[in-house]
Amino acid sequence: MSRDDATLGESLIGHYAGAITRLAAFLLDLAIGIAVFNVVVAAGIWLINLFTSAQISTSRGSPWWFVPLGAWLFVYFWYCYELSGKTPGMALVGIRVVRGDGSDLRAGRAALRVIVLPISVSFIVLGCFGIVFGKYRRAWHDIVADTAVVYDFDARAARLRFLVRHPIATTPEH
Amino acid sequence: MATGSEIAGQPSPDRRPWPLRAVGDAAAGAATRGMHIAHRLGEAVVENLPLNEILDLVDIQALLDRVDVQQIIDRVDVQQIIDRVDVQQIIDRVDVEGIIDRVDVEGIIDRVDVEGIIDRVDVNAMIGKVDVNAMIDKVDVNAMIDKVDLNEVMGKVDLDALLGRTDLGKVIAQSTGGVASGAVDLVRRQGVGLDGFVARWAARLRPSLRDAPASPPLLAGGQV
Repeated sequence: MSRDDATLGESLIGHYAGAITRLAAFLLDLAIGIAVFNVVVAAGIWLINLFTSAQISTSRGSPWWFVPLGAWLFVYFWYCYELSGKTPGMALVGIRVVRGDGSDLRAGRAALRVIVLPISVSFIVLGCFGIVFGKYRRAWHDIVADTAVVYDFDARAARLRFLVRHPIATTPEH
Repeated sequence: MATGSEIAGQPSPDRRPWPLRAVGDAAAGAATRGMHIAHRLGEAVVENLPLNEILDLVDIQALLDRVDVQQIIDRVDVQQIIDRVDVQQIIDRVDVEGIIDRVDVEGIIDRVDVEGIIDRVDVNAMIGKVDVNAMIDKVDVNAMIDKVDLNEVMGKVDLDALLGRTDLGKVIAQSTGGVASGAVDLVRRQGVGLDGFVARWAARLRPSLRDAPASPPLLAGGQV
């Protein structure tokens, strides 16, 4: 059994999540959030143009669009954290946010985490340095809001399901 | 020969001479007393007779061997005897409960060679004679199910063992949901593998990370 196999042989539920998984979840959430925002905005503008005489400009490069986009992303992340401790991207890769001691996240700390998140991302190397080299695997936004990100899926069960789908060919002993 | 007066119902006068008549009467009296004494003597003998000792001396088996029982049975009109017997009255007088209590059923069962009996039974032939469809038609399945306490039955079922014997994983893998779950599992497994790779390199650069806790305090030990 390789070292990876040994790692995947554990449940991993509640273990600190690693940098790659967290980065994948963040990118997925960013994509989902922006996609939903674009769809909702496009639908809204189409309806406004259809039923009113007002013409809303959708020209690219306008910095004002970052305001509603930022507000939307704040709501997206905050509501998901407060609701279940995980965003759709985090649910997909199997991680969730908890308080530093492992208890459930409350609305206030969730909001604080989302507010500091852009700062942490802006200084991606420094902000996320702690995820790789920190004792508690925490980025700046985790330290400020006293949160941690942990695995939320049973890696051992996933491995067993994988083995069922791809049984190892065994040579009969003679 | 009866005389005419005897026929008429009147006693005939004894015409024997006196000496003969006296001797005759005396002999008759003596005979009567003798019979009485013999009868009483017989009773006394029977009462005092050691019947058990006498019977011990008799070879009953030899005696029975000499008896032609079949001939005796042939002479007996059994049907007539049975017709005269009030069977119901006999049954009423029998203490069936008492008889059953005295019977050692366990002992009887122990002496029965059940295996031997079963070996001699042609079960296939027996089943072949049974009209299963007609039997099932007579069964009120709904009434039967109503009598069954399903909760109690389910309580006795070892679901873990049952699932262990079921190739559930293969069933899940073949379903559409199973395929989607497989894709998610793959993404997560790849992510965890890369996380481990990065963590190992980080631990090489900063060895103190090897002693770092794996999870927050409240989640240590797999608590969620």
